Parts: sequence; structure tokens; C-alpha cells
Amino acid sequence: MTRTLLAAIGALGLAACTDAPVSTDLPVDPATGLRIAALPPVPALPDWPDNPPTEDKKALGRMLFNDMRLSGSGRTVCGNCHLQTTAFQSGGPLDSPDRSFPAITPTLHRHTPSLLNLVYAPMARWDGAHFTDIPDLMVLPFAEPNMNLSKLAVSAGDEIDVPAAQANLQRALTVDIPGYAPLFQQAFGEDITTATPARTWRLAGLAMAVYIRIAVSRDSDFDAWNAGDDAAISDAAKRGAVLFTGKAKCVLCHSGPLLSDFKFHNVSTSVPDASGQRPDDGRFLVTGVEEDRGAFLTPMLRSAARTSPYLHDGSQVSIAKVIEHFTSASGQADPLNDLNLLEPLSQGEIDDLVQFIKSLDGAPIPIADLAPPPTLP
Amino acid sequence: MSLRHVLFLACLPLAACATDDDAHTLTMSATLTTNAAGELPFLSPSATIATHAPADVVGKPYYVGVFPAGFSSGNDPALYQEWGTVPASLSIEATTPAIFSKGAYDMVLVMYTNTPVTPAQLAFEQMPPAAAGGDLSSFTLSAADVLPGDPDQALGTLRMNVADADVRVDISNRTPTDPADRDQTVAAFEHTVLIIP
Repeated sequence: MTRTLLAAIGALGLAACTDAPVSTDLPVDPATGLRIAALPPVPALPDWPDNPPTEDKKALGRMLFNDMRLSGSGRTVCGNCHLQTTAFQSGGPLDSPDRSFPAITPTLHRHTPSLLNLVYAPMARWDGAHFTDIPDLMVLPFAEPNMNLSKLAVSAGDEIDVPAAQANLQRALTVDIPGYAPLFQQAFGEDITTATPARTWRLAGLAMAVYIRIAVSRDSDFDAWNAGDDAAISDAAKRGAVLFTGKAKCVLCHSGPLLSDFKFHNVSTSVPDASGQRPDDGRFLVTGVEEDRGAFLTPMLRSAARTSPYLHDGSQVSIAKVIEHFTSASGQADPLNDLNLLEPLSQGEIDDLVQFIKSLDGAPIPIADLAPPPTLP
Repeated sequence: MSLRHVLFLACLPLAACATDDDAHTLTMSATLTTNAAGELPFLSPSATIATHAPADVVGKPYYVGVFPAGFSSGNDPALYQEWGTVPASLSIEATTPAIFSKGAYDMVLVMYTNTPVTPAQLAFEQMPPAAAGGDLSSFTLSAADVLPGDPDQALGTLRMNVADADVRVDISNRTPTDPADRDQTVAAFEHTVLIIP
């Protein structure tokens, strides 16, 4: 966890200690071409020399993402919680992907994060568990008992059995639904009927990664303003941008083109009770490091206005409520809290920050290419 | 209706604030019907069909809100909103005052069959809770009602395009008679009541 945050906050300067009107008259730095260099535009899509994106791979990934026959219950797909039409998240606090109605269990114990801009992420999942790269991340849910996609028992909690899931997926893609083998052949030039389960698993992940690659939020109004277009965002959003990178100190964690440092922070969202128990130990569950208790991955903020509710447990409905939490006593309630030097903001300042975050809404994503496919094998 | 709280936010900057001549009402009517087993069937986003017993729905609070087209859920205030209680007839009809001038609006209905709603939320002192598993929401799959140049409609909303008359939309818990029939299923996702995963 980032204890150096405390020192960094102290180094921000005297501006944080005043209530002077916020100046939004920021010049464009000739060196960077930006008003705020800490929040640069989203870069071009990365090259994947070991997995060159093709239409065949994208089409295959689209099918795998949306084929409920591959789920343990036969009743769910990735797109159930990561809805293409809503920034690839669900809009609900905690999802029940299995849809075992009327018993709506198992309910995931963490909020479904958006998959927008996942292609750029060097880290993912609220606690970073099992993260290696984007292809592995995309296929991992097939191994997760609590998503019931692996035909394993639901009662195993967060323990996952990847080899068993690989065998299940191999059987599903070659025996149960033989129509997939020609599509893998076409996309990768490999015969999954003779491939190892681990290889088929990897190929499935590679295809799904190519599919989600185009779900990118970029070219926001803020980016236009940051590059010099004075009229691109409202005065409130401009003030919010200045607050975000100044007095409010949001930029300490929400920095870079995706507005995330991709690190784990304790922001008092899973506070211990009198007995010391937390609702969710967060990153500690992965590292075993005591200081990581209650720490969660900094979420990306582009198109965040489209991804309510917020936080790892989906407990806050609005951006304003999240900011209020950070700047009030509740946001400093955890002894391991990273941000205990945050100072209160006025309601007007909170409103300005919300307007800034809303200005991060990107250009529309190509929904037609991301929607469930018209046919499945 | 045993419970009906209404908040009329007529003079928010984004609200219509139209004159009597060019202001119109928006109406959303939702009708829930039971299947042969006496259960209420609903489509889930994955096109599976889940059921609620009528007794699990009747008496539960519902929320109706009207927002600027393409609003940010949780972050933009409603132009009009009301709470009600699902009646034994399983039919809801929510009509706004005549405040909406020409333009596009998004209207949402949520029946909180599972998620508790607090008195503060019912009194509009706090925002409605996010709908969660088992709750019911208005939904339509296509963007057929989104006019060129208008923003996309938000999740769970129906686009209401006001021109020169009141606007009404009817939804129901539509489900395909043959779940294996893709065309039927796609059709059932239009102007339906969806169960939240």
C-alpha cells in the first residue's frame, strides 16, 4: 500500500489550504500540448504482436462472451453483468450471474467493474487476484465457482480450479458444441480438438481479449479542453478539473490517461468492526500483507458517469456521494486509511468535481460490434 | 394505490418549464400478467425466464422517474419522480404533470421487489437505491425510439419523444412462448419488464 501518499499530499502546496476562487485559466503547455499533463488523452490501441487482432478472433471472442451454453448453469453469459449497452457493467451493486431464480444466489460479493479501457490496464479486479494479462483475465470467469461458469460447486467461495475449468471448457468447445472447432481453426490456425485444454483455454482468452479490445472510452470533452478547446466543457467542469488535480488531491491515485494508478489503496470502504473484522479484506486476501487489509484497486474514471453504482461493493449510487465519503469522517475511519489528510470540500466544489468527471465521458463505443452475435455455432 | 409520493421538480435548469400550450404529460403503463402456473414470468438479460410469485410483488414500492435523454444514472437529478406501491391488480400507470416541452426524455420504472427502500428515499431525501437482483425494471432492447442526433437511452429507460402531444408507453412482462425461438425472444425484450440479475 502506498504510505508515500501521505508525504505526497503534504507536498501539494499551499493552494490546498485556501478557499480562494479556483482559476481555470490554465495555459496549454507547449511541451505537452496539454493544460493538465497529469491527465493525458487515451493513447492508441496497443500492438499485440503475439496476438494480432483479426475480425475472426473478434467474432469468436464475441461468441464466447455471449454463449450461455458455456456457463455452468447454462443460464448466464459474461454480458449479463458486463452489459455492452451500459459501459460493460451492470448498473446494480452486486450481481447474481447464475440467475438461479427464484433463489437469486450466488450473489457476487463485489461490484461488477466496467470493462471499458481494460485493454490498457496493467492490473485488474478489485483485489488483483489471479491477474496476469488481459487474455487470462477474460477467460478466468470460466474457472470461478461463484460465477458458476465452470460446472464446479458453488460453495467453493473464491477458490478456483483452473485445470478443471480448462477441461470443462475444452469439452464444451469440442464435444458439446462442435461448431466452435472450425472457428478456432479459422481464427488461430489451430485444431482445438487435438490441443491441450490449457492451450484451448489460452486461445479462448486471446479471442475474448481481441473482442473487448475495442471497448474503449476516449476522446472526451475534457480531452478537447485539455488540448486547448476553451468551449469544450463547462466552467464547472473546468473548476472540477483544477480541483481534481489540486485541492481535492484525487489525482494522487486517479492519474494518467485512464485516471488510475492501478495500485491498491485503503479509502475506508471496508472498515473493521469492534472485533477487527472487515466486510472484505480486499488486497490482503491476495498478498497476506497486513497493511493491505481493506485496500482495493483504484478504478479507472473514464466514462465513470455511466457506471453507477460505485466502490468495490457498489454501495454508493452517485459520484457526489463517493466524494463526500472521501472528504468526511467516514472516509478516514479506517486505521489503515491511505487518505487521512483529505480536507472537506464545499457542496459547490463537489458539484464541480462531478461535472469534471462527467466530462470524461468518451465517444460512443462500437456497440454494433460488441452486442451479442446474431448466431452462435 | 396505498402509497404515492410525488416530487415535481419543475424549475430545474434541464426541466421543460414549458407554457401550458406546449407542455405535455408522459405516461408509463406497466401491466404484469401471470402464467398458467399463476406465477409472474420475467425475462432476465440472458434471455432466461425467471419468476416471482404475485405476492412477492404486490405491495412493494415502485419508482418512476423522468430524466433528460441520455442522463447519467445516479448523477443527474430527475425532472419528475414519484413513488407508488404495486397494487393487487398488478397494473401501474404513472402520468407526469404536463411539464414536458418538445424534446427527448428517458423514463424509468423500477419495482423494488427485493431491495429495501428507506423512508428517507421514499421522501426524496435520498436517491432511490440501485436496483439489485430480483428487482424489476422497465426495459427495451432496441434503440428504435432514439431519434438521430439524440443521446443513447440509459439502461432500463424508455425514450419518450415529445413533439406536439402527450406521450404514452405501455410495457408488460413479455416473455417468448418458445424460448428457443430467437425472433420471439428478441421481440419480448421490447417494452418489457425485466428482472434484474
